[in-house]
Amino acid sequence: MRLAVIAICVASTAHATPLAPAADERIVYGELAFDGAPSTTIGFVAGVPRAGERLTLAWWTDATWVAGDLDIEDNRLRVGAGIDAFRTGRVRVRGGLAAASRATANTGYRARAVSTELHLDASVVVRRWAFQLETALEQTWATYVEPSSTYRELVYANAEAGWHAMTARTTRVGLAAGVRLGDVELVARAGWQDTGTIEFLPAVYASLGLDYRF
Amino acid sequence: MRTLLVLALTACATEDLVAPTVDDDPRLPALDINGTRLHVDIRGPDGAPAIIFLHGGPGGDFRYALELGDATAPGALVADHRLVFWDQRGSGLSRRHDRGDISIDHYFADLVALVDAVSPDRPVVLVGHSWGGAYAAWYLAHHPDRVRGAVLIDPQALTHSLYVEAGTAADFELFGEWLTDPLWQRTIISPDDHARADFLLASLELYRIPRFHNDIIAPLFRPGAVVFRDLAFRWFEDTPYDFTPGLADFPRPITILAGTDDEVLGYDFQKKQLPLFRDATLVPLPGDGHNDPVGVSARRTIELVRAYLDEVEP
Repeated sequence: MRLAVIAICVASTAHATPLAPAADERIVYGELAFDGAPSTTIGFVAGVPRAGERLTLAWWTDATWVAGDLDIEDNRLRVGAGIDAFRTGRVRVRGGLAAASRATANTGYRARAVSTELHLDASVVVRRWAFQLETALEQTWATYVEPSSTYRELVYANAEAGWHAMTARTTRVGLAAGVRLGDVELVARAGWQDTGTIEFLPAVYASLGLDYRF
Repeated sequence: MRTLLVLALTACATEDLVAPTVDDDPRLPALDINGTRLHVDIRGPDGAPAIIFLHGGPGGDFRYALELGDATAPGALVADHRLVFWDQRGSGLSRRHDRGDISIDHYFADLVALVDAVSPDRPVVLVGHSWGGAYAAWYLAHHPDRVRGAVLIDPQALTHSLYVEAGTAADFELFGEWLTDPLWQRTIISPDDHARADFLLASLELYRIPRFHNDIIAPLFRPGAVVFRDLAFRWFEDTPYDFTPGLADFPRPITILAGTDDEVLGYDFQKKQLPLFRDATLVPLPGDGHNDPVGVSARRTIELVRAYLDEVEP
């Protein structure tokens, strides 16, 4: 039970797949992250009682918004599920799949994208501590882009609003560490984030999260 | 599934979000030199002496400076000169290039070839703004016989130590929207090809740059993301460059125009660059931010360039 709880908490912040709560557990989590931009996430994880202790199936959902000036127009909504692919002793390998909607609004355009996230994480638990190697691939499938009037006036008058296919692919590889303090878990994670070949901004992500189970 | 199939068949190309280049639209005026194709717009009477405008960046384009070609302005330059606007390699509507074809050496060779192409028989006048000012300074230091004169407007730092001293044009705010918006948007439209990267950069350029104090946000054709990343961002940051060798040997007078409101490359900063030239005059432009001299205050700039031409041209 204890191993499962720690693993859940490590996995339950923005970049990994929250997995394997015990059958009767619920978890809420919050996170401050540098997820591209500084962002805030709140989420909820629940185990699936019928799956049993060994299968550790869980579903989860969360909402993220960019912290800059409380910019809630830059947001992400996700819902996903994960399951243990391999489990022995203290080591677990977990996979997960999520559907996500991301939105942005800036001076140049507004956009909303529908994407999927595939996660594969390996974790090890040592007493109160848990460590995780995490990988993720996020692929947008359809994005509605609406150039702003400012963009049309100052950059390209013929830019038209419309749907675009596969406008972004983000891959992440990182490490996470969590420590349990009673019912609360502190989780830190950091890693490499690739968004494209002509990237000129930092290719990193990092976050600090807090989880509570009840 | 049916909706997805319809979307796949009807989805727009991200290329549609940015203006077509000379490779996409053969109607655009272009010049093929030095292994590239440049977007070139020449205004003024055929056979007239050439004034070559060098835009800022690297990675910008000449659209924001078209007011310098105003034929109705007092002392209009295009009345008796050919004013040569061109988008530098990899930016504006010029041909896009990948990393291997974007370097400072390519840029130097492009300018040599451009001057030879548009004015093979007589020297030119260079008008350079910001990075274009430093670009012009490099050229006149290395090819003084091909330059009749130069007007440098808020020119970029001519050495790396001055570049560091000038500082950045942005005020760093961790939670400022000008920073968080471009960071966040990467996961929605990622910079994985030229069109997307240019589009993302264009949306960034629509933010007001604090320490430049421009009166308006300048229009642009298309920012060159590869150029911006590899030259404007990395090369200037990392290279101990020096454009001054030979500069003091340039035998003719030049003029430096500098906005008094530009905190980075404006009048106060240009006082430090002035001694690098043998015969240079520094002219303050009261109330102008960084881009204003070639945009909202272009008429005043035209008059100042005209006064300079009266001095250096026979």
